[in-house]
Amino acid sequence: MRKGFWNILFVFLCLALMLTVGCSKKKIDTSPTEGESSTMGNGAIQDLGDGARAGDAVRDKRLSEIEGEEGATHGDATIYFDYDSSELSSDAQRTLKKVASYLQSNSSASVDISGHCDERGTIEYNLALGEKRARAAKKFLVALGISGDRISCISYGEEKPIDPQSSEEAWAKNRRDEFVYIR
Amino acid sequence: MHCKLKHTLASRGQGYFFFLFICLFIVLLSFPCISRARIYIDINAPSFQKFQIAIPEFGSLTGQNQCGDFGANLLSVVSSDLDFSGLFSIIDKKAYLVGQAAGLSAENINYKDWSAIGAELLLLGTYACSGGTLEIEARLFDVFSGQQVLGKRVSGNRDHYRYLIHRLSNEIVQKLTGYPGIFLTKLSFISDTSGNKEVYISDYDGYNVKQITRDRSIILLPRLSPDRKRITYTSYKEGEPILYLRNLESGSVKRLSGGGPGMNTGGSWAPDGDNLAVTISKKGNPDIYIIGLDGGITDRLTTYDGIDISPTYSPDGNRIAFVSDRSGAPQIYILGMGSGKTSRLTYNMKYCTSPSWSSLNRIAFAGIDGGRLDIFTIDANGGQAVRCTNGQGKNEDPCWSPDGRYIVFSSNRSGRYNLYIMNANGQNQKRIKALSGNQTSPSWAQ
Repeated sequence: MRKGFWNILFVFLCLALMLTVGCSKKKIDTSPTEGESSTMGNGAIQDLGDGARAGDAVRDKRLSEIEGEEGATHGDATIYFDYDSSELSSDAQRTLKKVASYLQSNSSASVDISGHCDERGTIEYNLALGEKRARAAKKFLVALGISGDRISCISYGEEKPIDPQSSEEAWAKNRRDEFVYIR
Repeated sequence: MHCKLKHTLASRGQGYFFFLFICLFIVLLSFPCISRARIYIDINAPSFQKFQIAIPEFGSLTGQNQCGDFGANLLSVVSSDLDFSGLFSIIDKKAYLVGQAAGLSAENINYKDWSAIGAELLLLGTYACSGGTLEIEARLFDVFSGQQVLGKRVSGNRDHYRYLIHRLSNEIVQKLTGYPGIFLTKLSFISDTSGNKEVYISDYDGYNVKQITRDRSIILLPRLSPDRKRITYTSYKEGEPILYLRNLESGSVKRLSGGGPGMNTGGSWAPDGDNLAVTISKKGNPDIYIIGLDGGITDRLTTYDGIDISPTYSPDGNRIAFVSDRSGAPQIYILGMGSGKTSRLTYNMKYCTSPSWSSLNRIAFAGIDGGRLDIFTIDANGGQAVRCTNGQGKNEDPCWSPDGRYIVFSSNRSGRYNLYIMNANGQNQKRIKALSGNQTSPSWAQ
């Protein structure tokens, strides 16, 4: 009887351990963003002048991104999303706080947020979902005290995947917001 | 008094005579009508038996040196047309007991040669060339009755032989079903053949393809106007997703919507071609708007604080189907233009997008059931749901033929995205001529 109890406890503990390992695997690694944003903080700041000029810079950067080599830039920071979701995970919120503190200490800089999706949905819905993701990040930054004028949003839907393969791993990388600082 | 009675009788007699005359006239008139309107196949029936048709190679009346050997080309186009229609099963030429080589002509058909191999219909074609002109004659025979059902002749520039055959194919389908075929319709679509997503236009079967845009950017969701003279699409060529209107005759392009932040996408042409239902997100989230061809907003149809996208007009122009995530996941809704009343159409799947409303009042859409996108159709009142594709890659972007009897869609079942045409019930799925790269987002116009 007593032996049976210990057996059951052992099986229960094993199950609990398996579940914990399974959960931790699902987490998406955001470590690159930390490294990148810290180097960003050390970067020299250039004054580009008025807002109109900054707008042109956003446009030129987007155009060069579209025309230029695919995937050359993954942005200055990246956050990731769950399937068909624009909710900000705690990892995403941590990264956004870093983006906000960068913008606070670099008052002339602005940020360009592009929202992206994995390939599984349809083109137009993914465009809308990418925009929702970009705007969710913008809302969070505004709530942290960053002026909305310094944040621009665009959606590319499923048009610019980081990883073009069709796998859970690739999809997780592609469901993202990219942040590019305009200095 | 006497005079008056006589007059009444006379006028009554005239009335009877007139009545009889009208009756006779109607009877006489309806005889040729009855024979002309004889329908061999009811394509509105839920299912029908395909016609077994034999088509020997077209015979040259002028000798092959005049314009090269067109016989095989003409045969392949007409066979492809009739195959796409989903109405015919073409009997393999190897089974034929006689062929064009035997000097087969309308005068010397031995119908037993054809009924023996199971043919119900026999199509005999001949062609003649003179200079740059090609003349094609087609005769369709009912093998069992031994009667000619149809005889038509077309002529035109021999370089446009596909067009000439498409005209004959239309006549054949019209004769057998009472409805014209789809063979002279056009498709627009996106292809990344050049390395960028650009707009192309082709015949319904993917031939005669022309590249329309060279923006070297990203272009999405092209939509041909009902008269085929204009096209809208969303291009990132200026950085933001802006909706453009291109005149296909003059080549002129103008901005219809956009320039500020946000989406401007997915124009659905009103049935009369006077305005467009589009998706615009300048107010913070995407909503459905009506815009004129000058780009001016005439109405805003949705105000929900979430995703409202992908409008498609009903054939009478009084309603719109669109996609919203107001229930938590994308589903299709129908909105009355006058009342603003909105009702949900789809319930059975977690993800339903890309609606397309047919001229016969069916709505096609892409839904995720079992992890992958497939094409479904449903009545506008929510009844008669039909699954059209199942398990062959990812199937999306459904768009109806102008007559509402066929659906074009994109599928990656071959490893890359190509366009396919199927019957409204999902049968007879057939790939149209593919370009290199991926073809997506088809739209279809008369």
